[in-house]
Amino acid sequence: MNAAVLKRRNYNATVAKIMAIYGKRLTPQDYSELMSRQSVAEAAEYLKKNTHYSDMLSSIDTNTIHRGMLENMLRKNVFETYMRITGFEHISKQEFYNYKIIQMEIDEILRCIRFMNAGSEKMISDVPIYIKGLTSFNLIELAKITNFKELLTFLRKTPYYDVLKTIKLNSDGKADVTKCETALRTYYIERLKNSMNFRKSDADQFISFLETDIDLINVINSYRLTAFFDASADEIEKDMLPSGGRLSPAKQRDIYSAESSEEFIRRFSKTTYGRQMIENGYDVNDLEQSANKLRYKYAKLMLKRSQSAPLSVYSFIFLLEIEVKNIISIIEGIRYGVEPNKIAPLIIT
Amino acid sequence: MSIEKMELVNIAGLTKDLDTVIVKLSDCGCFHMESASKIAGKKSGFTTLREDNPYKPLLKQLNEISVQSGRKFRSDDFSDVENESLSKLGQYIMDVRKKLDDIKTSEKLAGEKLSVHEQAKYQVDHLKGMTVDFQQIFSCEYIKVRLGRLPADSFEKLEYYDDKPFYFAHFSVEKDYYWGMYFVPASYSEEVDEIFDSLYFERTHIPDFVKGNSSEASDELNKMVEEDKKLIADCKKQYEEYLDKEEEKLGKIFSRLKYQHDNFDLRNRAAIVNDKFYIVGFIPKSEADRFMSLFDGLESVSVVLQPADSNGKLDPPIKLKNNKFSQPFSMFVEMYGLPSYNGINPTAFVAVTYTLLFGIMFGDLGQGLVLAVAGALLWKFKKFALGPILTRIGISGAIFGLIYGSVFGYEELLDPVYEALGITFLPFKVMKNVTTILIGAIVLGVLIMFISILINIVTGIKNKKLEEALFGNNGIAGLVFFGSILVGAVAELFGVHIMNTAYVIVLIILPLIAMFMREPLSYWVKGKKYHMEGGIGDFIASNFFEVFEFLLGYATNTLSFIRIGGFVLSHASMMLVVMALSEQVSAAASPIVVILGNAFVMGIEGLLVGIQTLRLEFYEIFSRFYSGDGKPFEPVKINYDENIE
Repeated sequence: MNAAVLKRRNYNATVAKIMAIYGKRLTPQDYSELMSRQSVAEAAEYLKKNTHYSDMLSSIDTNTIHRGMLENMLRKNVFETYMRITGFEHISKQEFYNYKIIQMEIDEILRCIRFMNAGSEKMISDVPIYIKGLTSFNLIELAKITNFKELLTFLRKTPYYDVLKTIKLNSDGKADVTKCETALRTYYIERLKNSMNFRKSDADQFISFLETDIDLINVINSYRLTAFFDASADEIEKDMLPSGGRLSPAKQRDIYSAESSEEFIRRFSKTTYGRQMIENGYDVNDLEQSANKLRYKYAKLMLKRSQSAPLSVYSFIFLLEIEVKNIISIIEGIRYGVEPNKIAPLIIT
Repeated sequence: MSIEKMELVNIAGLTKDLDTVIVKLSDCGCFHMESASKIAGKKSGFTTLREDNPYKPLLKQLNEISVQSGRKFRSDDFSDVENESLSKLGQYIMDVRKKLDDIKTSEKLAGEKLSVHEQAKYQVDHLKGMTVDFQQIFSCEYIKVRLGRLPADSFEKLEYYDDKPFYFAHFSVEKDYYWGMYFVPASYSEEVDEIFDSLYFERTHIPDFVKGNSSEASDELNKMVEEDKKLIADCKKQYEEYLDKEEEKLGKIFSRLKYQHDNFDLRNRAAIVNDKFYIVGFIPKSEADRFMSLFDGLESVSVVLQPADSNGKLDPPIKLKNNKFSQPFSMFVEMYGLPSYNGINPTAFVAVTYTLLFGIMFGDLGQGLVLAVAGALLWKFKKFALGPILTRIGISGAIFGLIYGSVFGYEELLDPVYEALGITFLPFKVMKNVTTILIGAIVLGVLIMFISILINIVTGIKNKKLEEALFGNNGIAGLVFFGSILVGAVAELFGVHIMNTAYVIVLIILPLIAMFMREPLSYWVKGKKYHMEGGIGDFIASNFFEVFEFLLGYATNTLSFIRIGGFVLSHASMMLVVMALSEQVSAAASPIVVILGNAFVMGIEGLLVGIQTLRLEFYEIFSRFYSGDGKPFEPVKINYDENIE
């Protein structure tokens, strides 16, 4: 099928399938049930008996399951769901749908850099080995790499080489993770935009969603840099992802130049996103969580409004990842004996 | 077909005779007991007994035995244990429980052993093919061996540890796991164990009792599992045998304790002052003589009978008096609510209308008879309360089937019979008389509505509810208005002009005004002064909408009866479809289609018609004259089905 035909095709069955799977998502009631569990085993048992994770967890012994393994299984489930829905009408062959693999490859490269910089042992158990065969490099070999030069050599035949080769190393021979992340994520966004073979209306909707999402990611990152690293507006700007969203460069500059985290929030509250948070009853002072809630809200909106497969796939997988993050927050809370009322604010619904 | 007349009973006596009196009351089966505290006010000095029931703890224990064993104790002759002391009975119950608990504990222990052995077998079965003795493997001095399962994802990650001194050998692959063992030099075991821990390796600890290689161990474990299962079965058998042996005595003890427990509870309904008690209740008037004779010889006890409504604080309970035909239909009346003591018992009316309406809608000779037989069988073998109703309405359906000439959907089967008998006006073919059936349904509905309004007028006058009886929409005014419109409309339809000005003013407008003014008019009839609450505007607005609702009600209620005709036609149409289908299949399959089709239509149509008729009864008929606020007559008795918890 040529590109023009693909562009016109609706893939309604995929959209319908996504909505059917989305209908089985965890409800607020499920989250409160999970939070009320006393142990990871009990939480796993609840997921196994009462939720759409029952198939995935069918072979595990909930009494002995390790928290890390459960988390890995949940992440694997997101990927398998992604493969299932993109394989349903064979849309996975279209370039756009490769986004998930690229996203995961970038995550693995960044994880590798972080471990190298920290000089700690790689957590091989967390490597998503289930994407083996779909990646542009060997995940196990990546985990064995010990320095940035070695990494560049390893990635030589992949698109990531060009992205990372310009990164200047620090005097200790280490690469700045934030710069690597900005470069890799920028590459991801550009590639995503270039792979959009949609109808114009869908493309406009998707770009709008993506730019809003980038805006909110930038808000979270810039807030962290202001609050914890006391970074200047120039420093912050360099580490932000390129965006043409609803925050004008002047507005961005205004927020980034805030002297303190309180001032940052005060200035942010006056932006379109700040006002939306307030309208939705989110706590602007808990900026990171509220920004994530807003991201979740936009994804939900796109899924509900869209009748187009790429938009549905993207937003649905996004929402599923948030669901997994919610479960992981709860499991971690249970593991460390946190009261349910303290876990609840961390849940995004 | 009325409401059983009651007598108010006042019993007074010395407290020493209270238990004797209570036993007589619960044995007689006709005494509805009220709480004496209802009429004995605080000032009278009466108190009620607040005692803990001494039979409750033992009954609770018996109930636990009953629940645990799944055996229900029923009422039984308890003369054998009547004189046993409570402590002796308590000791016996405790002994039984201990014995049963001991057997259960043995069964539980055997179950736990079974679980361990099955788990070990499950693990060993995954190592099938391994011919080395387990003992030999685990006793290696320089090599450590760990058995267990590794997640499939982790198995793929083992290549990361190529440089580490271990070897993982898998025996079988399950959905998400590799079952196997890893070998590691003893000096590296700590490090490698950590690696496998991080890869979520689930280690299996083979119990010490497992001997030999995997095949031998599996055989041995199989034997153990079988032995455990046999032990469990033996425990179960022993449990049942012991219960079989003791069940009779336990049943007798239960009966005695329940009898005493329920009677003891009745003491709380008596009022006490000094050394005297006072009990109040109702008996059916027809039982008065038998009831009075119960107390012959009890000198200290006095029993006084009074008219049922002589005490304003106590409403007499309702016992419906029905004949054999209408008796089963009392279930529907009770479902809606019982009439008041001075009201009327609508069961006979329900029985007749329900049977008639169902028969008309379900008319089929064959299906009706099947329904009648099914109802009789359900009653005989299952005591299913709907059974006798099904029999009656089934016969009604059969009679109407005879009229329609329909037998299991065959519409022409009876034609020759009628021809032979020379009856020309039958059968009344449903599908050829659609208009007649629909008009007939409305006529029947109107007739039923008229009867309902008449009943309301009679009961309203009887109970001095003049507003309803004379001026209400279901009173004389409503009847005249509704009747006049119908008569006038029908007359006009047939070309007879009776709707002149006088007719309209006297028979339509005047009753309408009466309905509008029903409240002040009823005061005026009673000779009382009417005070308008909320002003004239409020009065007009509220009455205007109420009268408007009445008018709508007449129209919708009348049309509602069209459903009778609708269901007559739908029944016939569904059977037509069945017959058409049977003709399209092969000759061999045709009878099967007819049988299944009949069963389907009987089921679905029977249910629908049953529900619709009940709806007509409750909504279109009862709402006109029936309030259903009476309380049921419930004679005190021992309830052997109740669980004490």
